[in-house]
Amino acid sequence: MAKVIVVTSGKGGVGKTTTSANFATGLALNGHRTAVLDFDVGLRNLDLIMGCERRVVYDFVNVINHEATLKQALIKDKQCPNLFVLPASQTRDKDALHVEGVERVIEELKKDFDYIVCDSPAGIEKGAMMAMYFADEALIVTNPEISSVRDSDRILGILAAKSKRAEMGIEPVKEHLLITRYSPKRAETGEMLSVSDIREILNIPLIGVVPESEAILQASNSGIPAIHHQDSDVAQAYSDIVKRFLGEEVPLRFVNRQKGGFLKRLFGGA
Amino acid sequence: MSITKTTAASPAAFEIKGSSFTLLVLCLKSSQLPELEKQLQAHLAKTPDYFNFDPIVIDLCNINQNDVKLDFKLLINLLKQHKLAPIGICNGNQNQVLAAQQHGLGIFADIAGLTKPKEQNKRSIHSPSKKESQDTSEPATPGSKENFRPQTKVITQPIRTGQQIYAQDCDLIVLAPVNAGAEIISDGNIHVYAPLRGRALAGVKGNTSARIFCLKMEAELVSIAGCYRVIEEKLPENIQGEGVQISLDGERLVFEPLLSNSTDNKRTVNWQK
Ligand SMILES: Nc1ncnc2c1ncn2[C@@H]1O[C@H](COP(=O)(O)OP(=O)(O)OP(=O)(O)O)[C@@H](O)[C@H]1O
Ligand SMILES: [Mg+2]
Repeated sequence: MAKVIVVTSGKGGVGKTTTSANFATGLALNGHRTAVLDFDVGLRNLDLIMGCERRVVYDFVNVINHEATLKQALIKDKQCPNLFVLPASQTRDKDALHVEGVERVIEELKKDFDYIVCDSPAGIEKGAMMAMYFADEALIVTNPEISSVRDSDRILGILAAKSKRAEMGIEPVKEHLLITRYSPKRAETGEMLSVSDIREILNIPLIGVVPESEAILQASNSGIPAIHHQDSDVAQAYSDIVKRFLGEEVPLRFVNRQKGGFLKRLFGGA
Repeated sequence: MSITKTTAASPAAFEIKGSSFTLLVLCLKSSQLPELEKQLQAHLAKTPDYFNFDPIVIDLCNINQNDVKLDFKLLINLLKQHKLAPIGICNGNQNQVLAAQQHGLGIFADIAGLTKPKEQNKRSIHSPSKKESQDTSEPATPGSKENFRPQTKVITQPIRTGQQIYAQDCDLIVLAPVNAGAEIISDGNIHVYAPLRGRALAGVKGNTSARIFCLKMEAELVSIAGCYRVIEEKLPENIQGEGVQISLDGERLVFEPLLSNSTDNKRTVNWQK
């Protein structure tokens, strides 16, 4: 049975699109047929990060409006043959996404894919509601700062009340906390919230911690998701997250400050 | 919770707040005022200073049949002579309500069964506080059997930013954290067996004996019967982050550790899954 996963946060700019791209790529690298959908109508970021912006002909809204078939609109990823991107449209019409249309697209995708990853826009408006409505599971992307945690908390409340699962009264959406842009050093000095602070407030299971890293910037400039560069810490962090999502037990990394100086790191040691 | 009127030029000259008071109620069993006067005099002869212009509400539940006439002017004067300050009536019929208003008396919400014959006539009523509450229902009467519903509302899921829970006419028990930005409201007591980080309002219809209990006190605001406190700064060490009960003493909210030795018996509550 295909699974729908929403990547959401409430707050903007916390790393939802980065996470959607890397998580979907990771699922595909693990052999699962995966589609990643951009719900951020009007902005269109996912195709840039996935490096397929030049190949966008049709988009999500074209499919909803029957102006294109799903097959025509889905863009096959250059690196992974079992990964497809459904780009958002440039339209500024906020009502372009509606429940019936989104449902039809998701139902059709479910026939052909194992995982459907929905990249939510920021906020709690229509686009965000549409992205979460059909979700079976949710990655709650949170930065280690109080405003991000507060918005994640709000989104969790909405998810528990307004998702299709909630409305139907069936098993609730499975929630995963994904902390990103984490800096162990700044958490240690109290400049930012620590992993345990965030867990205590949000009170949902943690799926992983992605460190703050330059590698993300390089990856989005080159249009190849960071997870492809397995020598970087973010790539390893996202790989761990995908493994945990698929049921593997993987110890938590990148939460403690690396001990030892430059030389120790250079010449080995744990 | 309060309405502040500000004019462009000068700072606010007034503020209207919701509050609740414990009041005396005089339950009249006869409209014959000479008889009332005689009995009052006899009753208060030995203690002429028993009252000190205490505000009092006149309950007309026994004499609100349509044909009963009541001379409000006389009644008010009579009570004033005995150092009582009548402020309003309750349970009056339509004519009595009009007459009372003409004599400057307030009209309290009708309260059934508050002062029945044979019951002592010195009891308190609670006027519902005028908080900015979303509920529009009639105030429940403490002690009124008609309104007594013994059930309790139990919430097992975390209450999150932007969510609001209201336990109408009953107590509220929450078994998961109440996060900052969330609001829990109850006509009765509130129990939170987890951290309380949001707002908790107990006894919102005026039940001054309502209490708030929580295992980890980190609330943004607490209120009992409309008497509230915004918590902007850290509370004392034995209260902040600790198991606490909050009750109302007159107009003052009292915060007490749940266990008297809670400072040297620090419990750590771990809510992580
Ligand atoms: N782990 C990270 N380390 C450093 N920078 C990061 C990391 N993750 C994301 N960023 C940067 O943060 C910015 C926002 O990321 P992204 O676009 O993924 O967020 P978003 O939540 O999708 O934003 P929006 O709400 O606008 O859709 C980008 O510039 C991205 O490069
Ligand atoms: Mg985005």
